[in-house]
Amino acid sequence: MTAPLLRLDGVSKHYATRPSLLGRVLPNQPMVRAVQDVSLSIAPGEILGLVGESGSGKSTLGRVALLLEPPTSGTVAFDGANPASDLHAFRRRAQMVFQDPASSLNRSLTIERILDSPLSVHRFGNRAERRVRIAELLELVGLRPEMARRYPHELSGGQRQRVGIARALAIEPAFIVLDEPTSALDVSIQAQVANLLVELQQRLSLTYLFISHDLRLVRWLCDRIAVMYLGRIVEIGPAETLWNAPLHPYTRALLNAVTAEDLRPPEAAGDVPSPIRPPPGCAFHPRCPMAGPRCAQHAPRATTTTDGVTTACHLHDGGVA
Amino acid sequence: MPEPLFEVRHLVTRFRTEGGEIRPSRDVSFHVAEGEVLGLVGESGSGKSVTARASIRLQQPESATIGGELLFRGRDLRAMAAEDLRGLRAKQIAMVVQDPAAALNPVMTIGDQLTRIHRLHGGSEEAAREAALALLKRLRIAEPESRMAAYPHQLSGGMRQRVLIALALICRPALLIADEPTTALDVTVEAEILALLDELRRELGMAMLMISHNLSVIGRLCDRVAVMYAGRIMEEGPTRALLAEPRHPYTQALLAAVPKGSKADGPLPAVPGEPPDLAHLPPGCPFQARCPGAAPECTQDQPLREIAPGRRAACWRASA
Repeated sequence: MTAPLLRLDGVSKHYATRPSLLGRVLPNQPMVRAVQDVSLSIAPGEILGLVGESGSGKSTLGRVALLLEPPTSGTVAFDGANPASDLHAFRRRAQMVFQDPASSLNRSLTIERILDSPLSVHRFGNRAERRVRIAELLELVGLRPEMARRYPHELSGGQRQRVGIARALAIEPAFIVLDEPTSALDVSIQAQVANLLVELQQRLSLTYLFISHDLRLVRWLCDRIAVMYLGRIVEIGPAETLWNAPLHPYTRALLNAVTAEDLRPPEAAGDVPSPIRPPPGCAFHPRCPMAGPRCAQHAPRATTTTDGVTTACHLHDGGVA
Repeated sequence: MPEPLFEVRHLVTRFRTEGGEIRPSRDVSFHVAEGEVLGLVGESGSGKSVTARASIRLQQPESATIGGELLFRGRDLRAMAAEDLRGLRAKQIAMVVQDPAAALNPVMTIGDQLTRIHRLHGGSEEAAREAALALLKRLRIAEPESRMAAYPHQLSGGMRQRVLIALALICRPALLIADEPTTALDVTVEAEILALLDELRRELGMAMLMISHNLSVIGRLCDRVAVMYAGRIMEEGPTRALLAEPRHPYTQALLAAVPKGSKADGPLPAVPGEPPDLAHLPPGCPFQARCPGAAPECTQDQPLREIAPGRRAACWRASA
């Protein structure tokens, strides 16, 4: 097996619910357990999909993977080394594409200035060389050269997201975290951007962590899928295996909700609980149709099948009774 | 055919924007029968939300509506006095919007908001409270008594949307207009709200106009569907038939662009280009620039015409 490009070991991220001075000195203040003991690795050239609903912690995990926020505990390794030891070098190799290109692009700058910024920060060539690189980047993401002189608000949503992708690619990173990159786009435009992402990944041998709530898109785009629920990964495995034979009841509920063609009653009852007070035992048990007494008492351990799917569910680890 | 509950004929709306004048609804006609669910599906900028709001004169400014008839049980809403319209909207037409956080009053408890509506319709305090509790129970809201005392921010998104539906249904409207009612919700919660909406509309014999960008949501809930693009209805028909065998090239392209298999099967059939600039529309079909089958005929106006019983399409090529 090839050495992973990115590896997370026992990563947790907790936030104080009251980030004020008073909140910090008061004992026992509630914490949001956004990410809880997550371990995973991404091979070079792989696309790992991270799916989950709101509050699952998928975006937080993406930010922690890039060390945009330090983990509360656990380690992040990149290319076998600790990226925190040289953050500037790490940023050159690991970049991010955000969901909403309208708010992640500085509206007072032209597209040229936006794309020039990562190049200057990382001291890429002189002015003329940077200009050539910007033209290259625009072509790479399928935008006409004259777009360089436009401002973000003069572009459509799809074009703005192409600029967001070009900005992430500017300094030739190896790894990109894409956080819901097509969620703000219409279906017809989403397909264009999804095709572009796959084309770029293959052409430039990129590695992606693709975060989305859209399971169909994740199945289409990703090699493996990780499913998060209330801060934990409940199932991770090859995309087609997980899509065709989901093991965790939450994955199954999510899949059925997406593929349903009729109004059958949902398999997950009620709403997602708050990550401030996740239920004890398996966090999914209050909504789970298969839950038994064990589920409320003990957190399930992760077990791996011969198909390479790892899941954390008592059904696959000695039963729920 | 019996007279429809609600019929919109040749609706035209107009706005002035920085880029010029736009018409979000251009000669839009549709009808909703008693107890029927009609879906209005389209991407952003298609005009679906403006059309839905203008159809019950909720559009701001109201002068944006410059043509058409809005017939509710045969009476034209456009000819109605403001007071009569308010009465009608309070008793017979209700609306649920996408963002329940913005639609609920943040400084009133759920109970006060529910009972207030009931009392406006002339009920006693006691009766209003009982009706509100019964409705919360019906919407499968756990611990309804304590929820009555809660403020909107203390509830989850799914719970807030259920409260909003409760508010809309409290006076048993004949028509519910639901504008992206589940778009802000997680998919597992969405499934539950859709199932609930379907149960309730059957129970109350209520008709619905459901606005959504999501074909899967439309497919699950609606009897009929109308597909909008750049201010026009491009295709209309019974949901199952239309989704299984779309006749308009736009509907076909839209359905094909939804990811189905994996990238190993090849690129997604994306629709090339972007939706047209509403301020500078080409003559004829608004989809022609992106259409794989575009021909000189497409620069002619494409009226919505019947291509099979119950099915209409606005494309000269479309046939049964």
